[in-house]
Amino acid sequence: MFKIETLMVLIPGLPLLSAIITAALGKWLLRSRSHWPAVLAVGGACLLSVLLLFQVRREAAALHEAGDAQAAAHAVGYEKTYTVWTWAVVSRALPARATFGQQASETSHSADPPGTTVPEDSSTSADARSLEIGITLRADPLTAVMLVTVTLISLLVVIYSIGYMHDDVGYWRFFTYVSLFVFSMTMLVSASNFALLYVFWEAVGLCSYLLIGFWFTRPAAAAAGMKAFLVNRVGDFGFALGLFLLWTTYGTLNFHDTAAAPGILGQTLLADPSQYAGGWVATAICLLLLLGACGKSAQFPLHVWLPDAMEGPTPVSALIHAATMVTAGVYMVTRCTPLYLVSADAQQVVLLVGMITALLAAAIALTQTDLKRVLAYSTISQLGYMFIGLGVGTLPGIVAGMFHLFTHAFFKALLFLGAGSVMHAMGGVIDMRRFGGLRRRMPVTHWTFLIGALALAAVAPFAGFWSKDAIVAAISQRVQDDHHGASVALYQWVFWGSLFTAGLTAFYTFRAFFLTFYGEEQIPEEAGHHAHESPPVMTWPLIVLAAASVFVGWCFQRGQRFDHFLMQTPSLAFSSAQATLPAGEHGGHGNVAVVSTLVALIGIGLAAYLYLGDRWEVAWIARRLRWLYTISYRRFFIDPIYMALFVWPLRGLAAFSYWLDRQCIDRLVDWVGRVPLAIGASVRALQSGLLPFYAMAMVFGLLVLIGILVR
Amino acid sequence: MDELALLHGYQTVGAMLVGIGIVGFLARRNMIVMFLSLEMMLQGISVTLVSWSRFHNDWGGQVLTVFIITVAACEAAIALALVLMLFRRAGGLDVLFWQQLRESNVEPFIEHELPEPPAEPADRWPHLPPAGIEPQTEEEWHRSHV
Amino acid sequence: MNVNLILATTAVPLLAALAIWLLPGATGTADRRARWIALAGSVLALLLAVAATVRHDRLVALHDGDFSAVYGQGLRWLAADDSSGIDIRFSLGLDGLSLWLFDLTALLMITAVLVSWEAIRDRAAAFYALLMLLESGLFGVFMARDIVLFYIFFEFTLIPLFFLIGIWGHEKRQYAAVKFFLYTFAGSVLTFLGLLALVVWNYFHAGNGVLTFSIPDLQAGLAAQPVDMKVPLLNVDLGLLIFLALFAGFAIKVPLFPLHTWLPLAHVEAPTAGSVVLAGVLLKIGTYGFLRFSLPMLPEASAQCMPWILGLSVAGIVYGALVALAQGDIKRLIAYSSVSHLGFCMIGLFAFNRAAVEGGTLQMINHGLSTGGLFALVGMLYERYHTREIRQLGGLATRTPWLAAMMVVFALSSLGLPGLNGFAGEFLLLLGMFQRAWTAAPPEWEMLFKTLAILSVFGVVLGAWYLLWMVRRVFFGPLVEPEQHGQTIRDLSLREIAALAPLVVVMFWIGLFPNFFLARIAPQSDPIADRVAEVIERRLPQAEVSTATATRSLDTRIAIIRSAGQTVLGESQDVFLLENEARRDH
Repeated sequence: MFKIETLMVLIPGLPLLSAIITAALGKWLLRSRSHWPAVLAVGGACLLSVLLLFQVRREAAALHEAGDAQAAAHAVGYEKTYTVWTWAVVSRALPARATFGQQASETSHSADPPGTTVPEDSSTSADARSLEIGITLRADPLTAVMLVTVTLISLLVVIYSIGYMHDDVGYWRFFTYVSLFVFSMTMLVSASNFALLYVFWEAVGLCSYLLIGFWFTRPAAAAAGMKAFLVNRVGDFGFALGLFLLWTTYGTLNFHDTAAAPGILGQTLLADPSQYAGGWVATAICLLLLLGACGKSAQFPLHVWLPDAMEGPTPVSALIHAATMVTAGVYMVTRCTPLYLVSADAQQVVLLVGMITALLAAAIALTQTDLKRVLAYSTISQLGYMFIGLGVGTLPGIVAGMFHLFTHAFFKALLFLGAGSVMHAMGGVIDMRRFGGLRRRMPVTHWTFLIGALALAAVAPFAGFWSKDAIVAAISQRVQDDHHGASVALYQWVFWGSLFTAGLTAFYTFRAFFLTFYGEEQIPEEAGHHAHESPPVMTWPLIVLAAASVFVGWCFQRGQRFDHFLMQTPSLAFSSAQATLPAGEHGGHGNVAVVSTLVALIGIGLAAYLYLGDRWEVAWIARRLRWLYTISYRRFFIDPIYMALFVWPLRGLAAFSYWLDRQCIDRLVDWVGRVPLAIGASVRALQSGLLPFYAMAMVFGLLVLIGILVR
Repeated sequence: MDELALLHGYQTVGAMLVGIGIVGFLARRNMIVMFLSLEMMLQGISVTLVSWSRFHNDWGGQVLTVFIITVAACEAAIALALVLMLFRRAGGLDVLFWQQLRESNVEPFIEHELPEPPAEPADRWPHLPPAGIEPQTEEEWHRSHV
Repeated sequence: MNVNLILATTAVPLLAALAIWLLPGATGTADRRARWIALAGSVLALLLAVAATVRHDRLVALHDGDFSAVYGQGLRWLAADDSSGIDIRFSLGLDGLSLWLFDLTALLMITAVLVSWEAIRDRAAAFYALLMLLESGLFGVFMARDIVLFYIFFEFTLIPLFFLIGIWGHEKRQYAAVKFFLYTFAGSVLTFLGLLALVVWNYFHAGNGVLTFSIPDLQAGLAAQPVDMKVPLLNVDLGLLIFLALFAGFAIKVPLFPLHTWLPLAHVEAPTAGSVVLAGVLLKIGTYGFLRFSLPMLPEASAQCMPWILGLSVAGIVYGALVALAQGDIKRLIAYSSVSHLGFCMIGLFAFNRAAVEGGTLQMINHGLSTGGLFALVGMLYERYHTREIRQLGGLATRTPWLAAMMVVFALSSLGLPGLNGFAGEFLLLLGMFQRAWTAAPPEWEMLFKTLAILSVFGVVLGAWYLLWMVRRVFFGPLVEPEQHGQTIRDLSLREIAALAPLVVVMFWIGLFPNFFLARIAPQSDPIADRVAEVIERRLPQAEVSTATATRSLDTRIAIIRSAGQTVLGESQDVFLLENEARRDH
């Protein structure tokens, strides 16, 4: 059996190795065999991740049993870290004066007179903190779950891509990028300090940039890649600010404790949560981190990049822009639970962002005609759901958010791969108006897509049902617990809003499903002789994912296995030990489940009524509610608004700055250069060429000099 | 005699020599006379140096004086050669013949109230006019050289 | 001693320059030979520099960080005799601040030679001779441990570059060369005054009667006896005046925000090799000057000027990025990005804590690598298409995939992508800046510092925007090419890859293992940061307690009187009287 440390290094290490091999040999040697390193490495990583999961589970359980004797050990969960190498050290970077205790209690400079009692040499005082950033990996339940999700989906997508990408000129390039992405993503979820998290936060952004712009000769793809990177940069701007604030507040960036300092999410602070900074600092940190999460997870103000990202190859959309990378924000917020629990305001902002995003994206998805875009907006909407779960502020909510992440990965990857299969067959056409009635031509895709759609619509036994239901239940629990609280109205609104969104989700999912697979058979001319079921290498991943979409929710929800395992994560374990937060007890679950299933069925029924067959009502609604339709179809005009609000003003400012530079600053410099010239010109007349005049001037000067000396 | 009085005497003589030299240099336009005035200033300074040297009991001043005399001799040789060259070129010793080193936008200095041109032919040897008498040059002739 | 090795490193390019210049031959053969000599010279210099670095590392560890033991005291050079007290030494050496800049120079010069290989045909021998001279001069700047020596090399670097721009540049080369020369020269004259003032101050206060120009001695002397006089008539601190004098030269060189206009011009007009060296190394002389002289020798004044310089740096970051966004010329875009990036370096230096100063020092190297590489790539593009207009190019990734890949790598490094070098420096210095703003800002500046810190992070976003925009327009999308002159466009040749590959390797090295570099910077940069930080700490209570200000000015006044008495009346009169008495006795 492998040691946990070995597993931790090997899981990201194998994809990295594959990326290097494919990059070095792909073009010359491997060519159409370029997928082998990626398949082997990601497969290996997947296997090792499962091993890691079991090992973590065993050790956590052992800790749990021992923990009955020691309550404290139980409360802080299980974690294991391993430092591969130290990236940067700045010894005594933070002098003793600014230790986090002072900042945490929000003392300003005036309340803390440093001048009176400055130590003799503050920099050598024992309290000084060093900045130590290591390439430190971690293993704990949360990481293990994420690793399994990421590597499993990646494996299936890589296998699928063998078929999907088979005659592309950039075959080797594709697998290089995908391997690089798997490496980055596994590192992201195993990172054990905020700096490393940030590093791979950006690294997955880079992979996303490269893969969206994979067909770089298409202007739309190149533009979408850039847009994704830039919008993510705006999010990262928030993340970076949050990270720097964490450093100035806590004097460390580590999650876990080290000999030098307690980590932000480490055992010491978790055991005594009152040490967490409160007040505006906490809120600011949480909101800034949330901004980062919004960028990566495509939440409301920064969601604009994800629909455009569909310009990338479809397996990439399935892997990065649906199942794994976009959930990094959810992962991070979950990881930072202790920080969010300190700031109720920030938590409500998370809730609101999630709610707005879920509703907005669902509303946009209603009218889109591009199959992948419908799925993209549904991804945004589902991510919004996850944020709702995280924003509820109770442990069941957070775990439900993570659970939804887990199940969503399977069925959304399934849907995207199904869409990819359709797109493959249709010769790259993805506009639902141009094809239809494909169910007989593509039976496997049809059935698996149906399962995915049912899971997405949260119909009873499928995966999405369990997790979405858990989120809704957590909100309703919160409404009950909080019934005299100040913000109960908010929770109530969110409860109804999320139910409504569930209905919308079911509707647009099945709208897309019916439009694609039912009705008159219609095949665009681009399809040519391709218009048949995809090869087995593409359908098998679909079948596996479909099976997972059926069973994964029920399996893990049974006996609340997922919850119990996840609660061994340090960040969450501490919260469960808090008396104020109810542990994972679901009350009134049944009613909510019935209601939400009903809502989903209504949505499906409506879609079936409108889109099975050619209904006149569709056109009628679109005509009568033209403005609503237009707003939805034009995606609430958010892109033009951003262009008008940010891009064009900045461009204008840039042009103005350049004008300023040329016409003012540089002119000023030239004028300064002319001053000596002007002085020279004014005294030019003195240069008369007359010797006696010069002599006279000399004598005069001499006299002045003598005069000064004599005086 | 008292050291200080001696110093005063020599200083006075030196100052007078320098003063006369300056006046001569400024007042005259004949290059040779100007050069002689220059030499006179040099001698005045030599006298001053020697007297200070004596007063301070430091031979440095006298050494410097010897040095000055030597340099002055070389200088005289070169300067007179140059003056000769200039005379050859311009046909006169007037220093105002040589104004070419003025700025391009400065008008040349032309003397308008020049006396009658001399009767002698152009190829003359340089001669020293009596002190206080303006050089006799012809306006057009002057113009042609400026 | 290691000094021989670094001296040899400096001598090699000098000898190469002499060889290129003096060896006889017809114009054609001499030109063809010149580039080989230059290449051999720069490669040999790099090897020697690496050897010197390795040896330096070992010796410093052996001598426990005592640099004078490693590099000796140097030769007496411009001292009239022992009694005059003037002590100018030909003293060379490296330390943490200069070590990596020294290596960077050696590395970039190979790139500079290789990118000129085909591009420079006219009077190539003279070109390479000047390039080699420039390399020697740059080595000298970073090695000098004596102010006079430093200044000589400092000014000397201008001369080869002046000719490189003025002769082999593009259309407006002469205007650019003259402007570059005059602008930087005007500032550095003031710098020299400032340096002399430091020397003189130290002479009057060290009390050992030695007019030393040695940088380590001055540093020690000024640490013991800081410049704390008020200039009588103007009623300003003398330290501040000296700081401003130094600032004039260094800030123009950096270039700091309103003083930057020579830079885009010079970069755009310079030949590729000139741009590479100018951006890569020459600008670093400014930041290096701050780090070497201003901060350690004038901590008080540095602390006083901190808000202003931070403000200008951040203005430069945002402004440079915005102007870069408005450019249609790739080379000018990168030139303005330099203004932006050097702003980051300056933030690092002037946030005055360990993380920031280390990060700022590292960022100098990073900027040299990534921007040097970008300029080299633009040169390669220009060689192929004879245009640098973004509008005229597009989709080149299909035509020249390697060139595109390299451009992407260098652009990503420049915009601070983690894993590449740019991130390591930026991260540390921004971390330090935040630490300064949030935990150790003077109260009256706190809001300003916080705003500046946030704005500087915003600059990172803008940086991504203009670089990616350029990459997208030029390399992605459908193919757009200007009218070609009949020749086929080839991808990067082996020579061009050889010019860039070392930079890429080092970029990854710094990005992945910055600690290797930081550990060698820290021993010198940490004390500097600590010392200024201490000064700021000391100033804090004085800013708060109003009575302290009164006491301080009284103290200062006493100090002025005392020092004035010593300098003007005391010593000079003493000397005079003593001399007279001695003579009488005679």
